[in-house]
Amino acid sequence: MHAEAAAWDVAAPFFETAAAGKLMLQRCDACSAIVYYPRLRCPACLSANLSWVDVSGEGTLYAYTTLKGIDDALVGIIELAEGVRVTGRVLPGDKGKVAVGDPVRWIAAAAASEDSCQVLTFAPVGGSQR
Amino acid sequence: MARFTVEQWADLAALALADACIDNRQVDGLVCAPDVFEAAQLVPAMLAEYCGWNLAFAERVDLGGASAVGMVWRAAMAIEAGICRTVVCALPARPRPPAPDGVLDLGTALNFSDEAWGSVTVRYERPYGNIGPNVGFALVASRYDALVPGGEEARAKLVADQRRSAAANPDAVHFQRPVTASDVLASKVVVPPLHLLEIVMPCSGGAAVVVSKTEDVRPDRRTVVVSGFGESASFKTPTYSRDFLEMPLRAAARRAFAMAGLTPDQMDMAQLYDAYSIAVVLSLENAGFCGRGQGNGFVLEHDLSFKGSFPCNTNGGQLGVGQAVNAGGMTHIIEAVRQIQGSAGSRQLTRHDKAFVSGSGGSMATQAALILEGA
Repeated sequence: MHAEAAAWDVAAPFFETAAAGKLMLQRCDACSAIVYYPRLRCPACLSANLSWVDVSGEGTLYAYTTLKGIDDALVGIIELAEGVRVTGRVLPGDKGKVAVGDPVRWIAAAAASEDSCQVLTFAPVGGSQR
Repeated sequence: MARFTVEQWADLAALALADACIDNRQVDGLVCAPDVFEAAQLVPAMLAEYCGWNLAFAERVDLGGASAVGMVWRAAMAIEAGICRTVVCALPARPRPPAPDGVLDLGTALNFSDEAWGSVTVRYERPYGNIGPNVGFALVASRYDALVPGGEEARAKLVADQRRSAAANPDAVHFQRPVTASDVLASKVVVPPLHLLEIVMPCSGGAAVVVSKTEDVRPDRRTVVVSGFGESASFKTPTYSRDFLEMPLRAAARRAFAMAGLTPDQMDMAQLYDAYSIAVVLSLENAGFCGRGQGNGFVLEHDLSFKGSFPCNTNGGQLGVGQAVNAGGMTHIIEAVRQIQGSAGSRQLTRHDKAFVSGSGGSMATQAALILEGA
């Protein structure tokens, strides 16, 4: 998907930098809002001036459920330290479980594969104790 | 028998007009939803042509499960504004004739609209499995359970209460099939933390109502007045909502109560959109029947069946009746009307003057509220 950046694809830098091991999101030049998912205009003020900035990749698990029968994979909503929420894949903690509120961190490796479509994969920081 | 949705529309309109004792020639307005699959555009015109109507108000509403509420208030508003006088709102959901090989079926195509070229869901939701309402509601429930204790027990009790009402409703999928809270908890966990019996059973069907000027209603029935409404939509995927516990219904209900000049404690019944058990708990809070985080306690403290201290989804709700796609949202309105008119049969409430009705589309994304009163 991110092998060739198409001129129409406003999200290309997100996929390209993630594949290279760096998580970047847009920030609005006009109102400083961090924006996810990538857009042509800021959803806070509709400015078209958005710049790509590094983000920490750290966040907390806001909500999650298990895709039963699909490898019991975890789909989660992660609130990033920068304040935006994203949908992502969540890897289980040390004891195979996670809980809402767990600190999580973005795993660059999951985005590195050229075919990866699960760019936003997170793991509990230090392994969940649950 | 399988019927095209335009044919189902005509069937539903005929049933509702007959029930209202209104002649077909009086119809001068319609509100449809995106569940008419024989055209993508000019759908109200197509329906008018098929049913022989000369419309002054031709409207289409796209609010998913909240469409029913959205249709009725738009009809009422158009009548109030003097635009039209008799509006049919219908939601068809019966099986359609299968398209021959190689022939485009619009309904099938639209069912895959989340995979459309350019859809944001394709890249930011689907790869992770955030697809469809099961996952959306489970995500909401996981957050709620992390913040408020007792959810599993409260939701199981809520389902049992509604199934008790459904058991008394001959039109319900679960007629004469009550369950206990233990049955709910013993049912398979489909999407954690939600059990099978906390999720609606899809069914086929359809629903319609006629909204008219009060002078035109039949004299042998109590008039049901739309005295308040509200609507709210700001996201499609819950990930991008502001706060899982502050659903759009909060703003919608506040607008509806303010318009009606009424408060939640003045309602005789609540007909709350219930595709999932968690939706009812959050709707109780957001409509103002209890405070934030108090939904579980409220459910445990009240009998929610038609016999109970807080009659809620007195026909069994969709969890008891079954969910015929968007028509499921209309069953809440129809039940409120029947209760207010005193025609709810063995489940008739003794106090039945004022009803709060909610609608919800997507995973609690588009939400709307309606307040109905008996004249």
